[in-house]
Amino acid sequence: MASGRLVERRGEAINRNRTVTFSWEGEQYTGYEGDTIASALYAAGVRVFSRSFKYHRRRGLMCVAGQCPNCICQVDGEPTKRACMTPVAQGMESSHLNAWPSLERDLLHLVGQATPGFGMQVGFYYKTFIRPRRLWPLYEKVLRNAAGLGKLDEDHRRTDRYEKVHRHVDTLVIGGGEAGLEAAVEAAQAGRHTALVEEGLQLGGSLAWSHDGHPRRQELADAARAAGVELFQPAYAGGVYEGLLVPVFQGTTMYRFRAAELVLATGAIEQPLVFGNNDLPGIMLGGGARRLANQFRIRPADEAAVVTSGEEGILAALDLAAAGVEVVAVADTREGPADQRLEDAEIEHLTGFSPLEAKGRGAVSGVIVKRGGEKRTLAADLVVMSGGSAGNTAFLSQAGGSLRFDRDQQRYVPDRVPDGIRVVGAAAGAARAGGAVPSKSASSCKQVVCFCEDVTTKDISLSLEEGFRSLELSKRYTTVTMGPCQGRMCHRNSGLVIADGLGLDADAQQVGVTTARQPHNPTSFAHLAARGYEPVKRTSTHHWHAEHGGRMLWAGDWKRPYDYGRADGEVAAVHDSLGLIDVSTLGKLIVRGPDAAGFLERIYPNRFGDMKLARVRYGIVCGDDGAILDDGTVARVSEQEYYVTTTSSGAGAMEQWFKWWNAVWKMDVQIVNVTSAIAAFNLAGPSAREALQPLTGFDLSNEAFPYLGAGHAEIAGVPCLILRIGFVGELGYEIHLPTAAGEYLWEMLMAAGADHGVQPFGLEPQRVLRLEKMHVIVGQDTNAESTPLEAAMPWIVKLDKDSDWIGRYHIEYMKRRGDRNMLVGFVCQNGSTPVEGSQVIGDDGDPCGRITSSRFSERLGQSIGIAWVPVAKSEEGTRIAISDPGGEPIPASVTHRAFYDPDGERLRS
Amino acid sequence: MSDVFAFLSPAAVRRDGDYEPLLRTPMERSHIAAGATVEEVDGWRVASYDARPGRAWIADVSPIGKIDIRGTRQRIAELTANAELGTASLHDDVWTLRLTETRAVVVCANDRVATLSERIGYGATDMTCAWAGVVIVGAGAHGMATAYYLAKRHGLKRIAVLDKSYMGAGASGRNTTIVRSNYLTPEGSRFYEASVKLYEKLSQELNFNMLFSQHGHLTLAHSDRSLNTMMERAEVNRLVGVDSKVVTPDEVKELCPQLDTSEHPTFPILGALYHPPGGVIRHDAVVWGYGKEADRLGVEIHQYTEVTGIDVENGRVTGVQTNRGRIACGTVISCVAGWSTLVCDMVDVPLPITTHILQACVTEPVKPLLDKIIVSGTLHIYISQSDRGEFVMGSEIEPYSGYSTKSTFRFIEDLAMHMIELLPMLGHAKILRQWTGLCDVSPDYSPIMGLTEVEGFVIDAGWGTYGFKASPIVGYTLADLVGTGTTPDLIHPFRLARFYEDELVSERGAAAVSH
Repeated sequence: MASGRLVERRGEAINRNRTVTFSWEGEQYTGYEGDTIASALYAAGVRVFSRSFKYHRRRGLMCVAGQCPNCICQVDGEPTKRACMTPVAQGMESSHLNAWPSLERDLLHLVGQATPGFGMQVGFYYKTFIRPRRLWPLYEKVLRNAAGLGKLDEDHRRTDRYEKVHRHVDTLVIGGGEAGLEAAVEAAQAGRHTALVEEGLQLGGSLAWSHDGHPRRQELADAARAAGVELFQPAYAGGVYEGLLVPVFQGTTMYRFRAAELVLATGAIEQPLVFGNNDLPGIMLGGGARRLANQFRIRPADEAAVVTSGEEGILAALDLAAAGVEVVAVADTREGPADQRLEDAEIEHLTGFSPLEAKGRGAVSGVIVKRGGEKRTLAADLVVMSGGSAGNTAFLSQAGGSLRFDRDQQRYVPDRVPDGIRVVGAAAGAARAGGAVPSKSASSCKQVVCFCEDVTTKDISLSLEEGFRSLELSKRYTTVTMGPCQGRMCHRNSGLVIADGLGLDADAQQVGVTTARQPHNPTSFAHLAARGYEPVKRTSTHHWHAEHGGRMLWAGDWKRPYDYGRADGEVAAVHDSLGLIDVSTLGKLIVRGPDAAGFLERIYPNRFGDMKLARVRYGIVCGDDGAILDDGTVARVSEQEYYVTTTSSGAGAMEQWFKWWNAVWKMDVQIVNVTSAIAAFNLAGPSAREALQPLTGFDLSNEAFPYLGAGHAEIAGVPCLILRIGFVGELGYEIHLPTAAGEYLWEMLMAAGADHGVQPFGLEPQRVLRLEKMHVIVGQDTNAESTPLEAAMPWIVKLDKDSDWIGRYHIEYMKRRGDRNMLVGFVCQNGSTPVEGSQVIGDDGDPCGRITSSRFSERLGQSIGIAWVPVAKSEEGTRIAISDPGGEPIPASVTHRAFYDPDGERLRS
Repeated sequence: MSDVFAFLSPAAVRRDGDYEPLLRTPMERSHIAAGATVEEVDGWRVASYDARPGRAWIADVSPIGKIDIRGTRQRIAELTANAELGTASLHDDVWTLRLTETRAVVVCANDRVATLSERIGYGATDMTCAWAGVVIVGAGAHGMATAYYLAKRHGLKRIAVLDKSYMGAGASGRNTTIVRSNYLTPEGSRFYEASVKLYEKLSQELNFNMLFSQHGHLTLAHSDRSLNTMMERAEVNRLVGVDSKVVTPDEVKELCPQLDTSEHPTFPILGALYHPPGGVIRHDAVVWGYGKEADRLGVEIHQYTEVTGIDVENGRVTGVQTNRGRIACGTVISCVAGWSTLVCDMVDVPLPITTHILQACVTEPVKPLLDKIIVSGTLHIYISQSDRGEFVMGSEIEPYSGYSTKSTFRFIEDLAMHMIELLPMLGHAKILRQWTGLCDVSPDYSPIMGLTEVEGFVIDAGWGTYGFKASPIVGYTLADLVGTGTTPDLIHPFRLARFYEDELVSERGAAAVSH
């Protein structure tokens, strides 16, 4: 086994002046600054890095480039980190993921061998554990215990701060290899604001890990810096999304990049070869061995054998020889004379030889290669395999581009490239060719195709035999390409094996390719979420409520006081003396212009054109289907101006609705949403007039300002619009005023009401008060199909209006059809209060209606509510039965009159 | 008729150039061995024996026309002239045999089959030759289940399932595998409850383990308004016999300790609707399981076969056109979810459906620790953890309509933001893959199933985000509909005509994120 480092060389990734100590599997290791966990451990002699997903086979380093799953580990409590991409840091704790009790002695390894019957061949779980059915939960428990890689810490809480940054540049280059750097330098020198993203620990792509690439790498990096290219490295691009959005992740920051031009310089991914035991520790891709030797200056082995189908294997052999490794031979699937470079280095070149199977228990000790009947055994403690490379074209596919198979190069190359994108370098097809992989080998050992999911050639053959006879179906059945590497290591090989099994021509694209899905790299929730922004709206008196015991709850986009801790007292105060509620959340629209009256006539089923000045009227808005969308009040403040309120949650939708229709009708109307600019308070109770009058010169007497009046007044020096409406069933004034003066006027009103025992009241008491008056709450008592006819408001529909109005057609139809269900009040007969959502039980025992509002009214000493019932049960006094989750149905009787002050005398007083 | 489907139809066998194909019965060699002479009659090779005196004869009547007829009692009664069950009548050289109340068989000369079938109309299947009796468009879970139950429960032959892609490529392979029955309307609850019951025994019925994992389903409420909706669903469910109840935040904590039930999240949890039978099942396995058994029962499954047109004559379906040729048939069932409006356009049946996209994603597998399905309508998210250890997650449908299956970044950003508020442990979990599927959304968020104004054209559409969980019961009821000609009570409320009759089944109240 090799050990120690090679002599220092310019451009190496490590800084030999600084050592870093970290732990692996509970033991202390030391590496250099610039090392990754994988390189430091490899230099210290560690060869087994993980256990495989299903069979728990030992796995060692393979790609050393963050592509394969072999070094997935847990780092400082975070699962599924790549050891080969994670720089070591002082005190870092790392460990394996998928073994028990330890990486070296993994008893789960035995499970794969001991399962009777089918063993753990592909799809075994679909064919086992079927009978008896009652035992399935037990089997499932066993399956779940064995599943998954790594553990999430259940008590994990966010501590690091993650950020999002929006960036806009002229050119964004993904990939900092030779082609990417060249493209970036060129763009920057042309005056374009250019950024470049590279995921490796060093710039330069393959220049960084080839033994003579350093000078060129240095030159390009210097040129990029000099030209002002912004370098993001190490950082990775998460994919290409809508409108060429490219999220880039660096440290704890995510940059949302939008670039006018996107350059894909994503290079190529070296592919494994498929042969027996090709997953033994010590079998590495050419690029992996070269990274260890050239970037981290480690002599990877004493003796190495190379099996290859392309140029990469030859380069690896030469680099290994230069690093002092004895290269026993290069077995090359290509025919032809021996390579001159290998001859010069005195390395045997076995052309036409393909790998049959690797030897070794727990670690590789050699590989058998064959040509026809001729077999050779190459003894080595490192086997380098290289199946050529596949262009990394996932980004192009995500952006909507397409690929075609190039027979000469034996790989997919870009075909159609969308506007705004350029593909350069190896990804574009400018790379060393590598031959196709031998997909049939006579080896009886496991020939791994998918390293993530332990899928072998046998598994794929079996899936084809069982009828999953296409790439897409076989993929889903065997889960090949669906693991953490997302097909980087197995997409091409699985396609070849499937083509071979189906007798298709892989070159002619008969097998096809599967979709390259986003994100490009597995991306953590913490990164994607960053700091969550959840805007909340607050009224001008928000802090006053919180300081005075208001229990703040979400109400749509707003936070509002549910109550102030004494809901019953708050109700009583409104009935007996005085209450004050903040209704600033109501939507508020100004509708003005010569056609304002005509416009509202078309929007609302009831009349607004005939309204007198300084009056206010209740209105509902219906959709085309006659169903209630929203409700509120409309005050006529001048000949051509109306002040419209909507529900709190409906403000935005109503503004859109009004504007949309105005765009259709092209009337001379201007619609302005003033919700945030205007605060509104409702002062209600028998003492309201007495309390408010001292603050204003406006005559509040019943004669001067009757019920449903609207007037402009100055209250405590603040210009206000006062609407006299019966919001909660008592004498009340709804005061609209500039938001900025909100807190001031609220405090003035509280002070003015002090002698009358004024109580602030919240949403819950407001609901009780409104229910006592049988006021329908849109959205709670109505749903998306409720029309005003059935929702107890037929009086609001004026079918004799001259103008057409939205919903008229359907409501006229409903009128002809007759009602089916009615919204009615009910009073419970046995003192119980049904929960909202309870059902009205029909004569056949089925639900035939539902309870939408239900409360016990202290004032009335009764349980009251609102319910939808069939017309047959809607007559005044009808007995209905209401379901109760706790027991027997609750008897109740139907009523149509308001429970409290049915004639509205108190409102008008 | 293309070469692909020629095997279905002796009528398509033609003499062409050097070839003179003949139709022969499998008994031909025995006939010759027994001394019969064989001669050609109407393209068939027919054996005839010299008449010999005897007490019993046996004849091979394979070339004789046989028509299978299924329909309502009334229709079958009319067609058989009110014959008693098990009796046959001869009229105009045509034998009519009444097998059951809803099924009859006609036996006639081979050359009269086509005319007679047409005269009998919907429900008639020529068993002599040719056609697929029933063509099912869409080889997803719905199509496969329908084919399976048609073959299994009604003994129908000549069923062809066509798909423009591979089986299960659409919504069946893109959904997030949740099965539940806690719907808002009694109609919906009953229907999905029947589906859950079928799912519970499906692995055994199809002899294919679908890994049905029933660990319970929690729909969270973050506002008193949504708590009200939960109460209503719980009550409707309780009254129709579905196991479902509202639980408090403390109970939520006990059921799912990983959830942050404190006051800290932006939207604290106020309660939840708990549905113990809710679970997840391996979605691909459902398609494969039904497909495997349907195949065993003789159903033809043709992948990469796109329907390009549907032939209608005199208001009745007579065949489908595909990119690989035509298939004559009397019944077409459209089980194509997101593409429903496009297929229905082929027969001019307008549907009140808009197609929207729905996105989903999955994490790298980690050790299972979440066994409940968690849904939050307010936060627009839902999540479960599969037996493989992956977290499977999704959101609500996108507000815009279209057929693009591109995924958006906004989706995983918003999902992650809300998800770690609910489940802070997910901070270091990593999203591995995201994808997009199509949803056919109906105005009342209930499905549209059954007969249409085109005779023989049956639809199965309007599934929005809840089609997968209905697969077994859809197959079961549609098979009953086609097999008997009578609409089963369970799906009567979901008929297309409800939009003309103003009899909606509104699931909208519970629909926002109703996975």
